[in-house]
Amino acid sequence: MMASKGLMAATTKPMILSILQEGKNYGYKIIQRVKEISGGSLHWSDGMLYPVLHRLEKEGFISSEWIIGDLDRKRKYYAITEAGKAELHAEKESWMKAHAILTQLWDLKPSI
Amino acid sequence: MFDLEKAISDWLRGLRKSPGFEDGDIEEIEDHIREEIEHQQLNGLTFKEAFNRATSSFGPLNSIGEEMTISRTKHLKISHKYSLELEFPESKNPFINSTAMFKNYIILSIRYLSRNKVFSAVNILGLAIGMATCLAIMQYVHFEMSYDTFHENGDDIYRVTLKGKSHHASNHPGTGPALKDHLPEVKEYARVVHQSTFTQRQISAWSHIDKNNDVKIFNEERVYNADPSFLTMFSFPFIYGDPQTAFLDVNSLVISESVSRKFFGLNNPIGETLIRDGTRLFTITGVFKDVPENSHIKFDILYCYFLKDAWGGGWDSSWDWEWPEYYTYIQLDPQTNIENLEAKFPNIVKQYLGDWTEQMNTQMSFHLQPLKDIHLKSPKMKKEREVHGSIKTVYFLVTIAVFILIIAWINYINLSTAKSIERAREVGFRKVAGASKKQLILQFLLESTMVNLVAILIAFIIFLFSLPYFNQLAGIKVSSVNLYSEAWFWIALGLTLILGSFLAGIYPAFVLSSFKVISVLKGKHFSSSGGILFRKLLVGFQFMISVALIAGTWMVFKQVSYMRNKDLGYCKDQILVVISPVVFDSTSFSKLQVFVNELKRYPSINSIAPSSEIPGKWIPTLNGIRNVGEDVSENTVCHYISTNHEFVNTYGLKIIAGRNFRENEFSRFSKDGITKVLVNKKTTKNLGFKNPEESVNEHILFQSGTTDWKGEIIGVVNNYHQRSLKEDYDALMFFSWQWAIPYISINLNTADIHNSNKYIEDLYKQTFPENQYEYFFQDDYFDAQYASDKQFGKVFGVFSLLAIFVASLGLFGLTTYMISRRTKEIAIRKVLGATVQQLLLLFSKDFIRLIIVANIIALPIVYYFGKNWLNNFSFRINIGWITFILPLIILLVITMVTISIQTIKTSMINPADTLKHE
Repeated sequence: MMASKGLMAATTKPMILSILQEGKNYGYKIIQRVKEISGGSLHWSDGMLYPVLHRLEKEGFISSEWIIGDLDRKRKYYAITEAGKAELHAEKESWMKAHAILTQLWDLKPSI
Repeated sequence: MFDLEKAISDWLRGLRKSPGFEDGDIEEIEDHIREEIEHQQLNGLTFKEAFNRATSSFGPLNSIGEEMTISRTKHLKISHKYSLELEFPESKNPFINSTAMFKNYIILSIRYLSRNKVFSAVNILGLAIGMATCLAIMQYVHFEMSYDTFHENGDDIYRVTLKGKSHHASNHPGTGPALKDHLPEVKEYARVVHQSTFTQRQISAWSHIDKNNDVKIFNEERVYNADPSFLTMFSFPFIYGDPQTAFLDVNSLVISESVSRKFFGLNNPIGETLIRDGTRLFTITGVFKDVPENSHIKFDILYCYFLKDAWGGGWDSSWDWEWPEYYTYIQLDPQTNIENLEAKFPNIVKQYLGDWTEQMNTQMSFHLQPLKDIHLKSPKMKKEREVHGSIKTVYFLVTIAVFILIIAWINYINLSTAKSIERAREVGFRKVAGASKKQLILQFLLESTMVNLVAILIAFIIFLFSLPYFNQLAGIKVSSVNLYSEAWFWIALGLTLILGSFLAGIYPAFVLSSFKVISVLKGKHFSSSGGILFRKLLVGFQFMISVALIAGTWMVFKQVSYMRNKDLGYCKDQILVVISPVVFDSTSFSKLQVFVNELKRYPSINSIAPSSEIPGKWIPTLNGIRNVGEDVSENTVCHYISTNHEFVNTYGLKIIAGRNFRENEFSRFSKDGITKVLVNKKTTKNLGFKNPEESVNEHILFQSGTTDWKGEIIGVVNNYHQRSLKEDYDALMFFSWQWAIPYISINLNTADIHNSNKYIEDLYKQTFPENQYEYFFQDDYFDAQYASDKQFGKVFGVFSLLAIFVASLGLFGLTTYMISRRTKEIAIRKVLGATVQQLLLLFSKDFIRLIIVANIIALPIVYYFGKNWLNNFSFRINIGWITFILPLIILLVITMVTISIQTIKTSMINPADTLKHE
């Protein structure tokens, strides 16, 4: 299943926030995580993640810091903020609401 | 062999070049790519395969870069768009949105303005000059409007003027008391009258003798007699003494701070004695602060002759209604209805002046003039001592200031819309990124606000530096007014800023924001014909204003120089006028005779004539004359000049009929005898003679005091300009006396002027040691009448120049831009064989057409207003064809020079350089 562009765009935000709720992480790993979870059904170019990260940071939902890691490489780590957690909570509710509506409409049985 | 490091750094260089990525991003992405490559290598790919996989899976740099830009600029807008399908109101925060947006707009505007230096400079400089002019004119207007606003009771004070055959600023001495007696609304009256009314001389000599018997003498002109109430009705603050009590005594004198300084330095002079004209003693009872420049009446010395005792026990009533020389002010109850009050005047006029008006078969009326209107809104009146401003001049200057500002605004509109094509892509991208039309308009308005703001700051600097020059130009002595403390000034300034930003910004903002995204991004060339037409209209309008200003300046200049150069009918160039001694006693006449006889022996002196009047001034003695046998109602007015037989020679007047006075032939006033007089041509015409010859030896009746005297015309002099060319010839009558004061006109050989003057001065000081030597040259004296016209000409000229300069700036900006857009076209035309002249014609064609049309529209307007203005002058120039051709030529030259420089510069470039870019 390939998701539409609009849907993908709309889902990135809650997805990134959810991943970061698990702990501090950096761009490459976040993308890996998304790919891993979606099993390839959500696919976009890797680079497209960065603008989204930056935007979230600007909005105050996530924060970032540079950490000098192995091989002396500078790496930018992202972490979720309190505002991000609240936003994620709100997103969750919206998505669940939407999910409930659509489930009812399509009369789907929740699969296991 | 594949070099991974080189491949990565090449790829990163590409990244750096693509728009949207900044330093932090690049480091972050480098980290990403390296990790992915390492990851792919672990999966068994070669360096090259791993690199290719990593970069391709990273995605298209263009679109990521765009997203990056958006995430920085429009982050919230986009996120809003992304969650469009699932939008719920709780996730919005409008405040972050607007401030961030605002900041971003400001950054964008600064970038745009600093990148387009010529464009910004032309706009800002033009606006700054326009605004500086506005500031200068605002403070001029403020000064003019501030006249007489410093009096506490100012709103309730009126001047009572007198209207008969002509309108007089002054009134009868009885008017004030009569109004107060009859009308309860009149709380107080105050009369003030210049010393010349009593002494027949403009100046008086004031002396002080100190303890050591040292004498100080100064001549003073601004000396008035005033009612005691004058000091309390008006608010002229005292430094020493009390205005309430200063005039309790007839011998009281109040003087200005400056006069006090001249005599007494910084000491308190109360109780000191000053002597007028060597005869009359006064005691100083008060010192007032110098009368501010913005007072319609200015004086240095006041005394109170009005006190009845001054006339020796009781007011002589015969003076009350026969001497309309007294400026009369009344203070009214604040509740007074002016119309109702004025309606009561005719009865009072009838009661006191009824007999006289009946006898003279004339009408008389009183009129009220609010104190604050005197300076700017006085109708043309006789007997005014000060030159008043004119509300017309104020309006005129305000109009010019607004015009200059409009020209600068037009520059902004023109340049911004012309440049809009360049910005079309910017607008396109921003629209794609989700900017609404409203937001775009807001941004462009912000941009124009910033331009206006910078301009206003520069304008302030220009204004502050040029203020002294401007004040000199406009003849303002601003010391008593503070512009910055006025709320209206700041409001006007703010309004200029807002209006400028909005008026000039709104059209370009609409044009820019309404570009269609698709056509813009596809790179379509477009230009709306409506926009070009609008731009042409605006440029045409600028040309129109320029035409009007150039033609106007030319007319004013020509009229002023005509007035200064026209033959006046007498010779003014070699006459030195000496004021006869002010301190006068019984021996003075014989001393004067000695003085003149001595002078006559000096070789460079041709002739000497003492007289009561000289050309270049309004003659205050104005009386009725008529032919013998006519009724008094047939009187025609005539000015009297007392002099002797030398006047005609000295001033080079021409006798056109009859003869001059003979030496020692004097006009004698006697009840039965006949007085011999000389008249000018105008007088014979007024008396009804067909030609001057007819009038010779004819008898006439002339008034002097309250009596009719019989006169005989012995000769007629040709008309000469007694006053400036604004005025018609005056009717004149000359008497011959043994002595006439105060002017001694000396006709000199111009070659030896310096020595002659020295000789005259030494002789004067020797003969009249107790007097100050005062002299002037006749031509300077006469030209002084044109001071205000010359000043008007200068002000007009300077502002026209500024306006034309700002318009040229705009023209320069517009052509620079226009030609830069057509650089390739010029190159191709050159390759195909076009000459520079042909190119010039091509580019200037449109402008030339506009100039011609602007001339055609503007010149009738100029003609109308010019004609109106010239009607102020009795003797005036014709509006010649030069007036119509000159603006055309000047504008054509300016336009052609501007376009030529640009065109030649561009066409000098080798076409190959221009064309090889595509």
